[in-house]
Amino acid sequence: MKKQLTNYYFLFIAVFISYLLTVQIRSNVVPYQGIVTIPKILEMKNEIENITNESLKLASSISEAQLKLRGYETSINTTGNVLENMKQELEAARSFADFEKMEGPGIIITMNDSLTEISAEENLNWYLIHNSDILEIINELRDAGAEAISINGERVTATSTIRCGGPTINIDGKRHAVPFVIKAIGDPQKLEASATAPSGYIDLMEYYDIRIDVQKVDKLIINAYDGEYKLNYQKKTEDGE
Amino acid sequence: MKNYKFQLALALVCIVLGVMLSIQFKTVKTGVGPVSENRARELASQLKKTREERDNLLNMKNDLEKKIREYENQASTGSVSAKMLKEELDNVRIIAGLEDVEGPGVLITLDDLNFGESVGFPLISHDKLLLLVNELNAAGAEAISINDQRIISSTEIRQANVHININTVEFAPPFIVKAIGDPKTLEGAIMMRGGIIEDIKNIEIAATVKQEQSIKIPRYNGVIEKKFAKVVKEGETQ
Repeated sequence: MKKQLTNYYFLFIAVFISYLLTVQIRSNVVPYQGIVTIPKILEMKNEIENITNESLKLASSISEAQLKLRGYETSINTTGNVLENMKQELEAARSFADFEKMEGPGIIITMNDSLTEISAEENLNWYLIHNSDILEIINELRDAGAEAISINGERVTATSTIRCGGPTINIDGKRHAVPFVIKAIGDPQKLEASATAPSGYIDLMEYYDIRIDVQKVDKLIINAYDGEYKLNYQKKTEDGE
Repeated sequence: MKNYKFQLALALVCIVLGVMLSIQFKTVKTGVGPVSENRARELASQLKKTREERDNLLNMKNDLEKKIREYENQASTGSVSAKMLKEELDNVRIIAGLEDVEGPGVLITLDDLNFGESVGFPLISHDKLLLLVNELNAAGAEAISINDQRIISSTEIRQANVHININTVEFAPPFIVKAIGDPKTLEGAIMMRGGIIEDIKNIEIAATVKQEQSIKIPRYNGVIEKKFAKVVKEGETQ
């Protein structure tokens, strides 16, 4: 009798444990992403936002491509060839690659080193203009929608280099000294607002009395990039690859 | 004796149960609660949907561009001047960042292993990326991308809190920088003593640089706008 009672106990415990095990396994298998953490959720949200952003851009480039294709088809039907369209395309692409001289409204930023007398403990470097300062300012102008930028007449392209050359700054290998004149075509209001924003980069430089002047202009002209095509290593990826 | 055996068995069961309970509590505590679980599943399905939508749009765009290229290719077989026009168009498009390109180069990975922990500030800041791109350009890079965002003439690399915006897309580490050019020169330039990679490694960033025989860099996927800047035709008065 006593033995039987023990068996019942064991049966009961076995049933209970297997129930717990099942529950445990089920609750662990369903969320297949593993352990859900707050950073993971934020990351997913961020990715959704990015992809939505990308889709918006794609949508606008689709309508642009549709317009282009319609233009090509109209030309085929009327003149029999698309050479005129291709010439227009070439001009547009040349302007995107900075090979065209551009004009439009924008701003001119003039910069010169600080004239402040400094004490012995201070670092003179803080009072000078460096290549990294110019990189930051160009970056802020791009962010504010600048469509064409030049520094002392040198067109800034996607592959431009702005490096320190001791007393000078080398822009695409050409030497330039102060004052630096940065021209940018774009929405003058937006460009000026970004350039003169409090706690913006220029604001920071003014703290060290770097002489900076920002001027809105109705019409300015920016030279074309006159370098060579950089096509020694890169080549177009063929379709279907 | 028998009673002793029974107690032993009971103790064993109690231990197993205790461990199971504590594991269960621990997992609940780290946030697998039913609410966040549902939220995560919801987000995952939303993510899947937005990805599908994006892929559809991408296919649509590729189809349209293919048709345009077909017209251009057809036209280029017509005459020598048309062929030259097509070649020039292709070359300029490559430089403008409007074509997928490939070639030898370097692959750079920058990862902030402590990202997301309460450091309070991002270790990889936008100025490091700006300098890296500048150094690569100085070493003759012909095309550069960061996390598959092609660097074009109007690309910004900007700090947005702990993230970095590139072509208005928000990124967190790791940053994968690809550059096409002479692999040896590119690697040598950025690995220079006191150079940009050493500078980055000094702030506890895991950085690797690898030479590659073939690197693929995607084209810029947005629309380049010239709303304010107009082309000045040669011969026109200023």
